[in-house]
Amino acid sequence: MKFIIVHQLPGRIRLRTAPLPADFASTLADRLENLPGITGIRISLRTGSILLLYTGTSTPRNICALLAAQTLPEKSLQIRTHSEGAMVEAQNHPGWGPFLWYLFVRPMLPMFIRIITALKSALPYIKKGLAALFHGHLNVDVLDASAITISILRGDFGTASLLMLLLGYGEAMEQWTRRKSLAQLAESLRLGVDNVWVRREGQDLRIRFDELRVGDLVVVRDGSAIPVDGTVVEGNALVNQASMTGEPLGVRREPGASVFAGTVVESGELLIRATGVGDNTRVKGIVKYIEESEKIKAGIQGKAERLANTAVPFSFLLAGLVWLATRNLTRAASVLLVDYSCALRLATPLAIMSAMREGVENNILIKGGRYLEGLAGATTVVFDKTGTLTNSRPQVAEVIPAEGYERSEILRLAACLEEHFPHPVARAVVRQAEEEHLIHEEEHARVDYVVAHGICTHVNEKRVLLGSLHYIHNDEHVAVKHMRAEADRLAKAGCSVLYLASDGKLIGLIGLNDPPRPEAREVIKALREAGIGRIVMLTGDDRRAAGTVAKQLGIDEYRAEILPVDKAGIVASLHDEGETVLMVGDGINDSPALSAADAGVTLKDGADLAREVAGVVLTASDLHQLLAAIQLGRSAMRRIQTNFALTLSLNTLFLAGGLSGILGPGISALLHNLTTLGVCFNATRRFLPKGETI
Amino acid sequence: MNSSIMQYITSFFEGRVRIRHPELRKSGCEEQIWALLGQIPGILTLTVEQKTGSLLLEYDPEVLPTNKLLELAEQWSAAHPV
Repeated sequence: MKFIIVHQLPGRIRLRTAPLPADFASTLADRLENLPGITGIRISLRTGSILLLYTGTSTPRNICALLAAQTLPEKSLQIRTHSEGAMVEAQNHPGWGPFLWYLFVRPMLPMFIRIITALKSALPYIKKGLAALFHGHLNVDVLDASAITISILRGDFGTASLLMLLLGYGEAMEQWTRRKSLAQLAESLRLGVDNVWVRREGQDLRIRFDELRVGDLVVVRDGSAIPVDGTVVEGNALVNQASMTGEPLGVRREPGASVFAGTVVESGELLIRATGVGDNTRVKGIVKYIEESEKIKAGIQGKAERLANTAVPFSFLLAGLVWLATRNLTRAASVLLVDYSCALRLATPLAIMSAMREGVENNILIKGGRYLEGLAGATTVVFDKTGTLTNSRPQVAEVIPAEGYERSEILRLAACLEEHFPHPVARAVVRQAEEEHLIHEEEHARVDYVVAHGICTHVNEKRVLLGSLHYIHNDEHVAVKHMRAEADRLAKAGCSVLYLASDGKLIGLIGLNDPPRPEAREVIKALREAGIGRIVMLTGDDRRAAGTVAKQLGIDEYRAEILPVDKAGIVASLHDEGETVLMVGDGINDSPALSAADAGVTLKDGADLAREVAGVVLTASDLHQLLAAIQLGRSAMRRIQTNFALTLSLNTLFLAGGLSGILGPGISALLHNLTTLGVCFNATRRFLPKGETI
Repeated sequence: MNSSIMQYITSFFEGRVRIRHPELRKSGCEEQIWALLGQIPGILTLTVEQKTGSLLLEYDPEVLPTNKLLELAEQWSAAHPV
């Protein structure tokens, strides 16, 4: 892009270029700030003027070199101006100008100018109404057009103008709030900085997302989102592309295949050569998300819209009857001018958007009105134990050797096997061994991992197995009888038990527990107080361990020993029993259950896939936010109901006034539109009490 | 001319301002800044880097006029003489 030096003095240089988009100006300012010697930068976005203050003699040369290298990122800008137009346009708050014009300037204008301006502004409304009629719809647009046309035909240009002013203002207000809310949502999503794994010189390194460059080899494992657009170089995985294509089932991706940012690896591992990185790809994801969230309308929103449109024919019917009975066009017009639909149509989506925005401010990301409704109506909350009620950070509670073995021997051998696997249980065992300074040598052969069961290898010619009771006893037929009493004791204490066998004999047990989150008990109590009738805990642990944890947390209903695939079924059956179900989970295998629930809730550090699927994300990873989310949902739905009631009662009153002739069409229109503005304003008020923001 | 704070503004355009101020290097300053600005409508992001003593502030100039923001900055600056 071109920069022209307007003037230059020692220590000061002013340049000019085309008007700058704000986000590009940010990047430019960041780069300039990092030049040595720069002491001040002033940029005017509108005029494209850049004033730089500096010290040192070589700085101007560096400035010029830096600016010469700048190109306006065409592609990303196009994407942004189209979709995040939200952000740009969000600044256009509808001002008071039109009102002032109506009140003070308009009356001063000569009559014919008033007529011309009224006709000119009426045309779009009339066109819209005719178009609707032409398509066979008798909807709100037709009503608006009729009301305006009747006023104009009666020569009442004042009423017509006022009507259009209020209609326009209501729409502008709605647009503004919507854009503002979306802009904030987009912003909150964009700021999430996370780390990615890259492979450099054969080593896997963790780097910041913004340090990624095109050409980097990115490593993506089970349950993680793919952070870049790219080509698979190595590996084999099932990739869930639901965020791009809507297809819920994973597709297989092998070397040579293309993958896209924002899609998620369900299982397997991929090495990806990045072809597109940075905000550019991420922005696409956000755009998609926002578009989706707009589609996910709440049931109540649909109801408001249907109600608004069904009311229209009745308005016409009533107006017709009034005209027949009184032969008074003024009174008939009054009926048309008071319609119930405006307020319902505008206020409901406004309330939903505002609630979503308030959620973001409180670290609760709600992805659409439907989920807000789910939160409000929840009668049952289902928790997946690991990761939501606990921190998903298991600890070794006890190591029990069989007779003739040392405790340290058992722990050392287990750690030696487990260190090859990245899952939390393995990490707990390795951590414990490290804490006890148990150093081991690599004596074993290749280690095999049997998914969800255990590990198998050979140490000193002996076959060593580590895993669940099911794996050791049922699959591998190792006798466990001599240690059953100890295993029972561990299970009763709420531990999950790992069995270690060598050469066909059980040689030790390791008990692991996963302590509950500190706030879990309190939150469950508060949920009950908030009227949630059923709280259910799901876990893969055995019955006794599950019972102990449930008791600690004050939960009386739990399902133990369930397999990941059963979770969605349990949620669905609760739903069939007539419950409105909130599912709280954070693992990859919770995703089907999260989608089956009325609202799926996940925590920020949950698997990427879970965050993708869940309707609600608690972005500060604190269960207290679940309460706030429910409160927000209830408050929003209550506000919508109140608005319904206010709209219906006030407008009925005005209608009665119009029918009886007490209120003229002008006053009717004014009162009606003030009601509309009033409920819109009511819809955007805060939902959560101030002090309770978390 | 707004005397004190202006000399610490490293870069500025409507909607984004970076201030480098010695006070920002002190620990606990971030909390103060949040307490001062966090609740004000129109502030979009606040980033304090204690190491470099820098504050990056993005705001919505339609909601929070630049003058109003400068007033706040002046108040803070007056309370924290260098």
